[in-house]
Amino acid sequence: MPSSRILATIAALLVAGSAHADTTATIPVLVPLTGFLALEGASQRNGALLAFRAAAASVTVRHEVIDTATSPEAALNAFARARRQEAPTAVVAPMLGTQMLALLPAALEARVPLITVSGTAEITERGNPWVFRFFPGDAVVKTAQARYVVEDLGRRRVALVYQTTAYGQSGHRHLVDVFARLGAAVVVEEGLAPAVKDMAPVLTKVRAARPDVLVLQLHAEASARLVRQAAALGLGLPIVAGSAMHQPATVALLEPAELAGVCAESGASPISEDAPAVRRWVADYRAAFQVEPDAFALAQYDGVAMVLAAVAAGARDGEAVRRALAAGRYEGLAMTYRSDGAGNMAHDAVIVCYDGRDRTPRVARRYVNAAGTG
Amino acid sequence: MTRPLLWFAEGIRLPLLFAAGALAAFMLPLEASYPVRLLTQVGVYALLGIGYQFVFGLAGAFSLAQGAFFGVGAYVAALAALQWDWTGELTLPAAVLVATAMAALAAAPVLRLRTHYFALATLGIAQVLFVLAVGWIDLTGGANGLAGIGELMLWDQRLDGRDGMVFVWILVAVVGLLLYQVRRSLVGLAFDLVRTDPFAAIAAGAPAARLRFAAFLASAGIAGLAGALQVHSIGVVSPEVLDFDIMIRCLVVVVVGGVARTSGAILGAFVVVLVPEWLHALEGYRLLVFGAVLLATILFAPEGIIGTAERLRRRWLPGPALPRPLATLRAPGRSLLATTRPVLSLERVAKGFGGVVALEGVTLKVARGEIFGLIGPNGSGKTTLVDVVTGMTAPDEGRVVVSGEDLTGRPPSVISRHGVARTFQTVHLHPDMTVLDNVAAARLGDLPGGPLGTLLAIGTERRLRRARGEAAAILEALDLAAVAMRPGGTLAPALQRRVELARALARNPELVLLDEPAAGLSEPEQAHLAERLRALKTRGLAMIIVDHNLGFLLGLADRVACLDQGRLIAIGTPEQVRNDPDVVSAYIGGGIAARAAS
Repeated sequence: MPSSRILATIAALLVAGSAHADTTATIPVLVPLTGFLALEGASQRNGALLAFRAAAASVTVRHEVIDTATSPEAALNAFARARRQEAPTAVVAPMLGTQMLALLPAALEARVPLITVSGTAEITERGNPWVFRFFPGDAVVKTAQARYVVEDLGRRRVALVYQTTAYGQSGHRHLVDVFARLGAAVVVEEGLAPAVKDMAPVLTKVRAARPDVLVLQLHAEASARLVRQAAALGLGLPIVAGSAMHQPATVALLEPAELAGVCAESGASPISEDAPAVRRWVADYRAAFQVEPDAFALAQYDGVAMVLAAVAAGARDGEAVRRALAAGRYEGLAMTYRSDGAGNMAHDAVIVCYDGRDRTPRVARRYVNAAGTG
Repeated sequence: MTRPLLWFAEGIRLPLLFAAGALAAFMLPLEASYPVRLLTQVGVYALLGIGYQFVFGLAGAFSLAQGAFFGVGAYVAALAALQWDWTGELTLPAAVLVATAMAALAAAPVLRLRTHYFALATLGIAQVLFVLAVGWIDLTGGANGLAGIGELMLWDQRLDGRDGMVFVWILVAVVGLLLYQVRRSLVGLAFDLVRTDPFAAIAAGAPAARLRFAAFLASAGIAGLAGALQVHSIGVVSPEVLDFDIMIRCLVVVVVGGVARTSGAILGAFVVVLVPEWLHALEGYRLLVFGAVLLATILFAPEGIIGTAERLRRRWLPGPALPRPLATLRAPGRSLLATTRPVLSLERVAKGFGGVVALEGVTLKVARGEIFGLIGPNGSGKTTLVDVVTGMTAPDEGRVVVSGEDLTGRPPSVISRHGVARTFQTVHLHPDMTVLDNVAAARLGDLPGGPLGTLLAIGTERRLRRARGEAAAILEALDLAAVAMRPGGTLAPALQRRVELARALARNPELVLLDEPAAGLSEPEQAHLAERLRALKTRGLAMIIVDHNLGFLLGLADRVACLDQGRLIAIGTPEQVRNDPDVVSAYIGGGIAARAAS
């Protein structure tokens, strides 16, 4: 980490106020632990808890983990519950876009920063100064995904399969735009409801359109099903998937051979990294939770760590933390975070690929400031 | 006091006031956002549940579209607020109207179905709306939905936080009282029959189709209102509001709380919203424990919490006394004008089921004050003829004329209103309803003002009291006063048959069709029944009696007709028919009859 950056980070954090010893931070963790995002919600929770453990000795963290399930009303209930005793310093907020959209006005009213890894573009497009996204948004990762398809793989006839959820539709919109800019044609596109289990019909439709690459924007379970059935049907196309396909829990559903030729975008891939700090973090994570970490856990860790750094630097309340996050720069484990003015803190992306021999992906490409937003 | 105030005031009871007062005393001092939010949400789900009580609780139709109408209300309110800056005084009525209109459109094809077919069709409505919400991105925002919907405002008055909660609960009180009033009215008794035994409903002359339609629309409108309140409460709407999860919560609200009851819906809403909140400390095991709580409730209190409490109350506390008989009901055979016009005229009636001819060219007339016996071997078409006359089966050919009016193919409720009542070969009584109410329900629509007047007078206890008084008079006349307050299902079969006769008489009919009224009766009971029927005949009531007991029937009837394989083979006095060779042949076989004659 260059010394100038370190100085910049410290300077930014000091904006929040002078350093104090024995500061208490209240950071409730509101994440989906039940429902179709339970896997990702657990990663969020684990990343936050690990960051609490690693907090500076001068900072005492009070936290409560509350399940937000998958409905906006549950998220609002959780937010109200988290505020019932004392004003939170910041809130670890769910990654589900519709829940985040419901929480934005509540955070504005309560003057509490929301620290999230939600990928839904709209949450930082509503001019709300209290939201901070530590996972690269669709503008970043979809650009990286499309650029890898066109620039690295040299493919221009794209089959696009996406989920008919907020995540899927948002990614679909960005991918179509970026492919158009890059001169690639989307020759077939198909929306899949989360309840769809049999991927054979959509794969048949894809094959009939004669694409030269299959691009996915699916949740974890659907990604695994589609990749498995594509391998079984001998589709013979390179697959470049969304971030769900980088998650160890998703990959565990597949045999290594089924993963040959499959790539995925992500903000990071902690288990693929060689950097000593990340390797230590991965070891700590495995020891603490007995599961493999993913990029959501790492991003949430970095986000909470940046908040705690601000608290350690003297940020006492939500407003002070917000100012520190909005103006600061933080060298996290996954990347360097800084706000683009709208609350988007992460601007880098990676493409990881599987070689078919094991379930650990290799970083095939890194995109720093992929969409030029950072 | 004005009429509407009276209408509501008559529904107020001390426990209701106490419960409402206790709830208000608990809620009003609340300031913190967490309890206010939870109680607002409880109110929204209570509204949704109360709405569902109309279609599921009252009408007994297992609709799976209630969650979808909730979502429709939410989307309508959101779109109106975002696109036209409408506030609550317009968004709430718009949500109710659109949801009700959609229900009215869906009702035509869907309400014809029954049981699981109805459930699947309504599930289809929900699925279509969900797909539209996800796919029509320009209008609905797609899977992200719509955000930025403001808190509830009514005529520039912002109702946020506690004010919003109070407003939601005022609506719960109004809609809840509506359900309460309907349930305890004569219409409520009719709904009980429609839900429990459609044949009993037909016998009581209840307009089942109209009641189901009204209940379906009321449910949808209230669900739309709840959806609109929800969207103003949370500020966003997304396809999750149309998801099956909402429907499941709605079912849990009414099943756990208690079916068909306002208090059940409110209690169920508390359970659905608050219990998961209380179980937060269990984290991952929360849903498991919540599921176990629900399962235990359903296993040990299958009628719901309120239903179980009512059952215990009935067991431990004395029931209401038999009301004073009201002799205001005119004697059966209400058109006592001297006329030679037959009460019933069948002209060349034919009916087939596939290749089986059930009736063929049947022509007969029944005069006022006549007891007309109908005999024939098993499968000869007797019950089909009764069904055709009462509208339960439409004839393929011919005409059914009642008191000079052609009622061919008209529904049972219409024919019933023209003075035709019936009993069944297999008794159809509401087993849990008192004998008195089984009979009183048949007065629906026959009180002054007709069906419309009765519907408009929902909850006016005076009407229910009058119907019960009239029912008590009929029961007394049939020596049934001693069992009037017992549930219909607890009576011996012979008594149940007599209750069916009482219910038919409560329709104030001109013609009664009795299907096997003497079945299972002892000889003294048969004699008693015959005596009663003769008394009714003297008051101008016409009767068609189908019975296999020829001794009973031939001794009672003025004229008798015999059916064989759907054809009328003999008609005349009991003596003529008894000696008719075709009748003998039909009953004991052609060869045997010939040998007996020789």
